[in-house]
Amino acid sequence: MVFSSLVFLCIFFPAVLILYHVSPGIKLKNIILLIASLLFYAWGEPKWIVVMLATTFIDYLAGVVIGKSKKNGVRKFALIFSVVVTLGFLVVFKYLNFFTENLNLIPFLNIPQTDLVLPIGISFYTFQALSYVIDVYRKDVDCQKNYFNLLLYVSMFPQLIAGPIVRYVDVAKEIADRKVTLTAFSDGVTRFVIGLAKKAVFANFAGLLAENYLAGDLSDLSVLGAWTGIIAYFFQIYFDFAGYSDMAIGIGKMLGFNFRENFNYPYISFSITEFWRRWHMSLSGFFRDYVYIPLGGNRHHQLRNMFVVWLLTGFWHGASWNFVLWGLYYFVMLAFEKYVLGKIMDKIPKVIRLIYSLFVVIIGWVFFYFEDIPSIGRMLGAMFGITSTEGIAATDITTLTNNVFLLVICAIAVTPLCSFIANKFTTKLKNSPNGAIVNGVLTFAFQAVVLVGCMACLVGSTYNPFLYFRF
Amino acid sequence: MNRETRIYSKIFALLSTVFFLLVLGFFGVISFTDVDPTVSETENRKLATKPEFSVSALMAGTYTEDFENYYADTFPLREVFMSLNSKISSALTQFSGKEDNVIINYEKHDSDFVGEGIDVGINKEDKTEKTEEKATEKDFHAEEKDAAFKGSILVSKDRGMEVFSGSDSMTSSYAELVNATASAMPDGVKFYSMVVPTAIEFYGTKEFTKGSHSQEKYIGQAYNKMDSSVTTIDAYKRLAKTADEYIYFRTDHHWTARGAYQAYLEFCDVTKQTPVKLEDLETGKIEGFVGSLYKASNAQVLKDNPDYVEYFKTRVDVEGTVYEDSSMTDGYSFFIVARSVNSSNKYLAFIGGDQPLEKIVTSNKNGKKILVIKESYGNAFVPFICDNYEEVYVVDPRQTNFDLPEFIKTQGIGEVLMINYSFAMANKTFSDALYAMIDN
Repeated sequence: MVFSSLVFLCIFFPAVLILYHVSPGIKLKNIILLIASLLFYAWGEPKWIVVMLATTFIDYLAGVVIGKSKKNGVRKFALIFSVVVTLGFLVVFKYLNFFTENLNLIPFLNIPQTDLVLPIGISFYTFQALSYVIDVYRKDVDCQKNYFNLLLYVSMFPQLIAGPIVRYVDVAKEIADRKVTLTAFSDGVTRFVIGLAKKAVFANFAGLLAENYLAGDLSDLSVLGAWTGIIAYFFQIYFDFAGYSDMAIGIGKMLGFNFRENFNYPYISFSITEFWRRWHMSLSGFFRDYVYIPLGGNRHHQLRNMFVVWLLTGFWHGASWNFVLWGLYYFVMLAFEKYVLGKIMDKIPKVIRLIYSLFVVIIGWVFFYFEDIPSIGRMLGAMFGITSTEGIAATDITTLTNNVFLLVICAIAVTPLCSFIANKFTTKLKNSPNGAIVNGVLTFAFQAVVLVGCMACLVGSTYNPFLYFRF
Repeated sequence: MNRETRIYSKIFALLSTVFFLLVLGFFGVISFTDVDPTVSETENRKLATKPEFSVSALMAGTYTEDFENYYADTFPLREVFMSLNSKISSALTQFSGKEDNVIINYEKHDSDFVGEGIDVGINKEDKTEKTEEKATEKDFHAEEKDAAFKGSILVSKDRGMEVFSGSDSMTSSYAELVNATASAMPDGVKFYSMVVPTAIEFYGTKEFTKGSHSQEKYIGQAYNKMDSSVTTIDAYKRLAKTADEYIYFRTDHHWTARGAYQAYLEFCDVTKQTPVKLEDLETGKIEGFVGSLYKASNAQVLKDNPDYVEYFKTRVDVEGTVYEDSSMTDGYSFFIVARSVNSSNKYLAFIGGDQPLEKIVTSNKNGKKILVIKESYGNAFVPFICDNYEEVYVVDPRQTNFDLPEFIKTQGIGEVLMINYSFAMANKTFSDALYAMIDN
């Protein structure tokens, strides 16, 4: 199930919320949440739910062994065993065909392909499970003695299929005990509808515009058309993914969990280094803490460490060469910023740094969108006037004029402007009783209008893909 | 924050909590109790039905997928949400430019490239029941031939128009096709070629009629590349002159009978024949035609402003028979011009839509025989020339394959007209099919 489906929104979600909140005691609440999460997962992945259950079970056992044992050898063995098995599932389901396909390029080699399809969310929950075992090994957190509590952490439906990648440390306490206040619930509703709007309105409409240009014959693209298409995709992928994270965080709030932020306005970054501190923060945090720093971080072999991290980051996004290229592209850009731009970066005017960062990110999305290398070449060729048929096609101006409103509000919505204004208002209003009423009415009206508008968009449009679903 | 303020905040938090649960829950509950609609009138399609539950479907993931489709299709107040959605959509993506122009990109896999015709099989039984003069659409097989490609539609005020883009290679390959067809003809056969421009040429905004979008330029170019054995018929001028008349549909990519009549006048001019006068023909209207451009664009304005099909019966008596191929066995009769059409595609009123091979015998006794090679643009044209010939043969290469030169020879046909609309110049399905018929 995805949050932007009507079955989730109007059947599953309200039913779970009501059952959850009328149930007394944390134990019963956890049971309901666990059952709900498993149903949520099984709805889209009835077969391979066993992989999730098994992964969690192995990591649960490993966690107990690591947590209880005093012998270093035993702890190490348990860690290695669980990491190998957990990653093993990911490799078999996600990367095996890619490896054999490429090995088969060697003459006379013909390894048969498996017909396994990628289980939904495996990339996300694998990382959550891994982080748990490693954290227990590092003694950052106590092991979880109840399998079902660990399963609840791994499978919890708000973050299960598209992140954020929640750390066990961050939710361990809340699994044991948590409270939801009315205000927190209402804040959760606001957060949820904002996320839903990002997905159902901004991402979907931007996606339609992107598809117009990118899904067709690339050799027909004009320069302007190519840029319009990729900029629309630039908006789509942000709103799609950030919207999902917002919804996850909002649902978390309604259930008493406080997940960490996953996006922090990445499109107002003044360098690529900054972009990656703001984009998909739970993923970059994972690679930082479990790969980059253990390898030596910036103390030794920094360049090698960066290379490994970005190779893996690219590869995590998909078993395809374009994602590897995409990761390595960022490795090159980050190394360039570190070793070449480094000191002079501060002297460059902010506007130029912003344009530079956005430019690099937009080019990056070309590698991300097109899974075959020739298309990447054709797209870049079209963008820079090498293979494009003309500068501006007749339809371009009309298309652009029609979508100007969409693009402008997308551009505003990627900045903190709206939340800045909203926060300023609410803090002022909250100080007086009358202000509190005005604030309450405005909040309520906002939630209602956005919710109904989003439902209309979901009912009315057949186009509702979900980009990060496949990772 | 004082106590009062805190209470207010709490009250509103409660209000939004309750509202959120109520709204979502309301639609959840109501959807289980209400009666599900089965067809959508506005979208002209069947809605999904509740899927049968089975363990195998569940495990394959198809049950949940079908259930989601069913749920979305039968959602309570769906029509209300749909219209709200289209308002949001047009606010965001159809920001009114100064001329209300909207470009809609679409995937096309429809009748243009596969052809669409009445179900002649149905008429077999009630062949004699001529009085009804109804055409019923037959299932066309878009999927199996799969000619999907992307196109753009310009919606300007209440008119939809496909955006044309020409190229030198397009006119070369089309001229090559015409030349090859002409030279494959038996000796003594007169060969005419007519390429018809589409509506955007006359009603489109400037940027869509100049440069690579100028149909005048590319049609002319194609004519110039044709051999001297091909007599070209320039329908363009007369259409341009009468553009203020109802010569093109607004919701459909075809021309009207009135438009086709202008081309017929030019045809008679070039072939030195006397055209029949429009005033002399019995005429009528088939109302409520919302055509292909609406289907492809979903533009509400087109749906709200339907076209009508104005038909003109032939002056002479005509008898038409459809055959699968040149063996001319098992024919079915059809109406050259139908007075009503039992399908949303009212353009099927003309010669029963796209059929493999049609033979029309008229009450003229002048011995003249003509064969028309066409896609659907030819359909509105054919009825007029019935007044000038004793026998008219119509071939749609996409629907059949036989030795065309041989057929022309055995039937003693003296003239061949190849009529296409400008978009067909780039249509590989059409050219491949025609090459197959002349390379036999």
